[in-house]
Formats: sequence, C-alpha cells, structure tokens
Amino acid sequence: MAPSEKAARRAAKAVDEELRIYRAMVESSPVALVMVNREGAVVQVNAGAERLFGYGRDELVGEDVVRLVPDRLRSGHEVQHDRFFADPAPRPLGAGRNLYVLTKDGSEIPVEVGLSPVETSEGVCALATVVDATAHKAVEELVHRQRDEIAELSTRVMEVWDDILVLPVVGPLDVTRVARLTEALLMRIADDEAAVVIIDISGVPAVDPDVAQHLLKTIQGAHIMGVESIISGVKPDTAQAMVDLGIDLGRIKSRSTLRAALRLALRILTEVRGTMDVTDELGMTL
Amino acid sequence: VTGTATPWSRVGDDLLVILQGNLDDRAVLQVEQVVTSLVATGGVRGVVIDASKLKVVDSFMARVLTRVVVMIRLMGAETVVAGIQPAVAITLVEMGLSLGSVRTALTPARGLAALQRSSG
Repeated sequence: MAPSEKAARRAAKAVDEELRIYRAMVESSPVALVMVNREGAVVQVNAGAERLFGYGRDELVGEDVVRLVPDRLRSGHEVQHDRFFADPAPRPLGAGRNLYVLTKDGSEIPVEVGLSPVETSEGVCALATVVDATAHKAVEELVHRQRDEIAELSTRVMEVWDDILVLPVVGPLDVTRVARLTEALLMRIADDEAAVVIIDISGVPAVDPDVAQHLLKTIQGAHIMGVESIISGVKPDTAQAMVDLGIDLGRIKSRSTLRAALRLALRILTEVRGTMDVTDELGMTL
Repeated sequence: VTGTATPWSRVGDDLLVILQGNLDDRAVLQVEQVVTSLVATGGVRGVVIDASKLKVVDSFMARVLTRVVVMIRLMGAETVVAGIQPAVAITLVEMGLSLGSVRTALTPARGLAALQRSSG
C-alpha cells in the first residue's frame, strides 16, 4: 500500500469516528430532534423523537410533519412554517405558547419547540428541538391554582357583629388584588345589609402609593353604597404613602388597631340606630 | 305618584324619588326638574333618591345627581342617595366620582331614617 493511500484511509477513519461521535451525541440526547424540509416533509429524526412521538424512524422520515401536530394547531403550525422558511433564522423555544404535539397513540403532549436553520445539499431545512413540557406545565398549573386559592382565602369578609363587617387583608397587596377585594366587599355589603365595614390592613407588609390609591377607592365605593368604613392597622410607612398622595384624611376614619376600630364601629352603629344602644348589649362602655 | 318617568312619594315631611330604567340624558334632566320643583313647593325637609333600580350610570347622570343634591341643599332641604348597587359603585369610583359630598345610605329605608335622625 502506498503511503499516500494509508494517509487517506487514516483520514477517512478519523472522519468516520467524528461522525460516529456526532451521531451518538444526537441519538443519546433526551431531546426530540426533527428535521423538516421546505415542503414540510420529515428529513431526519433522532431516537428522542421516536420516544416522544411513539413512531419508528421509518414511519416518520418522508412523511408530512403535520401528522405530529394536533388538528386545532395545524393552521398555526403552517403560519410558523412559512414564516421560518421566509427568513430562516434561529427561533427560541416557544415557552408559554401552549404548544402540543400529537403522538402515535393519539394523545397530546405539551411541548416547547425551538427552530434553527440547517443547510443541506437539498436546501435549507428546519431543525426542530422539541422538549416535553409536561412536568413544567404541571408546576405552572399548580402555581396558578395556588394563587387562586390564596386569593380566595384572602378575600374573606367576616360579619363580626350585627351589621359590622371586617375585611382582614393579609399578605402583599397589588392593584389586581385590591380590585378583587373591593368587589367582594361591596357585594357582601349589599348581601348582608351592613352598616359599617372595617378594613384591617395590619397584615399587609407594605402599601405603596398605587395600592393606597386603590384602597381609597375601596373606601369610596363603600361610601357610595351608603356604609361607613374604618381602616385599621395602618403602619407608619402606609400612613406616609397616604399623606404623600395628598388624600383628604378628613373623611377617612382610621384606627391603629382592630380593637379600636371595632369600638368606633359600635359607636357609629349606635348613632345609626338612634335610640337602640348596642353598647348595652355588650355591657361595655365606649 | 307614578305614570311619569320619575315616580315619587311623600313620606311625612320627606320625599322619596325613585330612579328607574335606563335613564337617557333627557330623562336624567327630567328627574332634576321634577325633584327641584317638588322641593320648591315647600314643606319638604329631605329627599331620598332611591337608586337601587339603576344597573348602569354614566358620567352625565352622576354629574346631574351631584348637581341636584347641591340644588336641593340651596333650597333648604337635605338629600340622601340610597341603594346604589355594587357594580354601579365600582363604575362611579373608576370614573373618579366618589360622591364625597353626597350623603348615602344602603337602602331607602335607612335613607329616610337618616333624614329623621338629622332633623332631630
């Protein structure tokens, strides 16, 4: 054998070895890889794709990729396909886009899909990286459900005395939550025919000006409906936020503790009811 | 008295005016006119405006309502707006109309009671 021939063989062997390593990398990846050409036909898949979709390689290669897309998502898929081939550039994983794939047994799996262009001898192809997002999705749903549950728990309005409602606000307040609280409180005022409401914000870690503004709206809403409201548990920084807002404090009844607020509520109730003195029922002096 | 767009009745020295239906701008102005002319005849101590039938309010209606309250005050009587529904209250607040200077009550009955109390 001529020395040049030997060198060529060594070179070919090295190329083979490199190919083998690359193939092993692709095949051992847990991620599903699907290569699709401009016409939408599957050109190549890896073992991860076989596992995810449940099809053998020979069942996928040469077939239209839409068989992996649920019916309802097919029009969206076509738009994405055309957009990619109009300007083949890497697209990030589509997290949060509610993508699903259709497997051989007809079930749907939530996925995240990324696209990158790959040059081949038959033109540009799209390499789709498909990640199973089932676990991800489950965590996301759990977070959503818990947020709703917390919101539900934290909008409890209690009738502590005849015609006196207390809305204890616990945990951080944001604008959405205050809006929800307001609605719940006003509905309850109408249902219970309350006369006085106490909004206790001692359990709120911080009240920024935005939230203070919304709390003011809650109080205004209660006034429009014809009930008196008292804020209790105002901390120094909350007081500061309200002063900074230039809120007309003349109209707002406020007490530092829930206990003091309840005492005030009972006094207001006495006035509202006129002759009937509720403090007699309690046997206490105000 | 019914038959007009603005039913009203006398309760002792007080006047109970009921707002009803979907009031258009013309009807709102008619309410204003009816109420103020009733107060102008004299002998009215207070007016309860029952808004419990109102499902929606617009800024025009809210402005007129506030104006009526001031007009009645100028004529020497007091007004209580009663029965505003939660959804309407939220709309008013969102429009920046807090009715801060208007006396309110949850129900017309409480409104009448409030008028009686304030007159001693």
